Amino acid sequence: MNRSNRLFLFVVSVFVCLALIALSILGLTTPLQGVLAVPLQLVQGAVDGVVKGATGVVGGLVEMRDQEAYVADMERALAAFQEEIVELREVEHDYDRIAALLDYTRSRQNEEYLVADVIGRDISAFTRVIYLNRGARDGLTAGMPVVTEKGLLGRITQVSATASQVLLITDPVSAVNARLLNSRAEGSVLGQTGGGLRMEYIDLNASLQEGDTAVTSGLGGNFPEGIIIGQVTSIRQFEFELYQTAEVRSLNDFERLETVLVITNFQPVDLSVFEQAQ
Amino acid sequence: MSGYLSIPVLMVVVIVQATVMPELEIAGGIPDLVLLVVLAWTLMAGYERGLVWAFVGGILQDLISAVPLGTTSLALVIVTSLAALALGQISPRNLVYPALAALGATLVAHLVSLAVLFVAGRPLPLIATLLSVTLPGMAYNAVVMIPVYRLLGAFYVARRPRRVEGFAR
Repeated sequence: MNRSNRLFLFVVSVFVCLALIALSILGLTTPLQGVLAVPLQLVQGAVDGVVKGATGVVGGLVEMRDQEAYVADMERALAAFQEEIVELREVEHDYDRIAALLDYTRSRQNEEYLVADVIGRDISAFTRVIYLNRGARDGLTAGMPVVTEKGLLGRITQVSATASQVLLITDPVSAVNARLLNSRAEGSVLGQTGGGLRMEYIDLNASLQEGDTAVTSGLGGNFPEGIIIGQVTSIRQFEFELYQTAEVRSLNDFERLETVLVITNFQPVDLSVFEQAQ
Repeated sequence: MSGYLSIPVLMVVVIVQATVMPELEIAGGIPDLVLLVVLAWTLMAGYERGLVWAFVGGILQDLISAVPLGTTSLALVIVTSLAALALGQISPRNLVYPALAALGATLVAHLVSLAVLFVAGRPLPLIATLLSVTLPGMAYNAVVMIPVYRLLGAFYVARRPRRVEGFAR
C-alpha cells in the first residue's frame, strides 16, 4: 500500500472517529452503545467477579501471612515483656524484703545491722547451716546474731575474709535461751533433726498457752534479749518429767532465706573462763 | 490474522483491561493493555492491520467506559499512525523499540483523550493529570510492553513465519 493510500486510510479513520465522538457527545450513539455494550458488560461482570474473588483469595493469603508475621512479632514482644515482668517482680520482691528489714532495724534502734545475702547452704542433711556474702573484711566476727524481720535465724560460727558461716537455730546442736512473752516462762529452744524447734526445760508450774511468743531471754550472753524466735504451736507436759516442752514454729522459712541482717554491735559473753574454774 | 479475528481477541483484551488491570495499579499507573496490544500488532503486522485493530479496540474499550464513543479509537488511530510512520515494522525479537514506542504512545494517547474530553465539556487539569496518571502509566506500559511484545511476537511468528524475513529492523 502506497503512502497516499495510507494517508487516505488515516484521514478516513480519523474522520469516522471524530464523527463518532460528535454523535456521542450529542447523545445520538447512546442507544447503539447500550445494545453493543450488553455482551461486553455481561462478560465483564462475570470476569470481574472471578478476578475479585481471586484477588480476595490472594489478598487473604497476603493478609494471613502479614497476620502470621504480626503474631510472631507479638510473641517475641510478649516474651520480652514476660522477661521484663520477671525482672520487675524480682526487683519488687527485693524491695519488699529490704523494706521489711529496714522496718525491723528501725524498731530496734539500739542495735547496728549489716545486710548480707545468703550465698549458700550446707548440703548435709544433718546440719542446718547457711553462708553469707559478708566476712571479716566487713567487720563480722564469730558469735554475731543473724536475724530477719521475722525473727532469729542463728549466729555466726565461722568467718573468712569475704564470707561467714551461720549456724541456724534449727540445727540439732543449736540451743537458744528463751522466754515466753505471756507466761514469762523460760527455757531453751533447741533445734531438731527435722528442722523444727522445741522449747525445753520449761518450769512445770508455768502456765503455757499455744500461740505464746518465744523470744530470746539474753541469758547466757549468746543473743541479745527480746528477739523473736517463734510461736508456741503445742505443749507437752508429763507428770513423770521434770520440765514442760513446747513445740515452737519460727516465722522464718529457713529453706528460702535470701537477705538477712547481722547484728554487728553485739559481742557474745565468753563464759568459758567460769566453766574452766569449776 | 484477519481483521475479523481482531474482534474476539480485542474483546478478551478489553475485558482483561477492565477487570484485571485495575488490580495491578502502582503509584496511580495502570497498564493500558489495549494500547499495548494494538501498538505491538501495528509494529509487527504493519500499519493497515494495526489501524483496524486500533479502530476496533478503541470502539470496544469505549463501549464499557465513560468517555465519548470514538475517543479511544481516535487516540489509537493517531498512535498507530505515528508509530508506523516513525518505526515502520519491527522484529518480534526486538524489545527496545517497542518499549520506547510504548512510552511515547502512552503520552500521545493520553493527550488525545484529554483533548477530546476538553471538547466534550469535561476538561481535566492537564499538568496534574499528566503527572499523576500519564507519567506512571508511561513507565508501566514501557515495562509491560516487553512481555506483551514477546508473547504477541511468538503468536505472530507462529502464524506468519514467512513474514519474519521481511522485517526492516
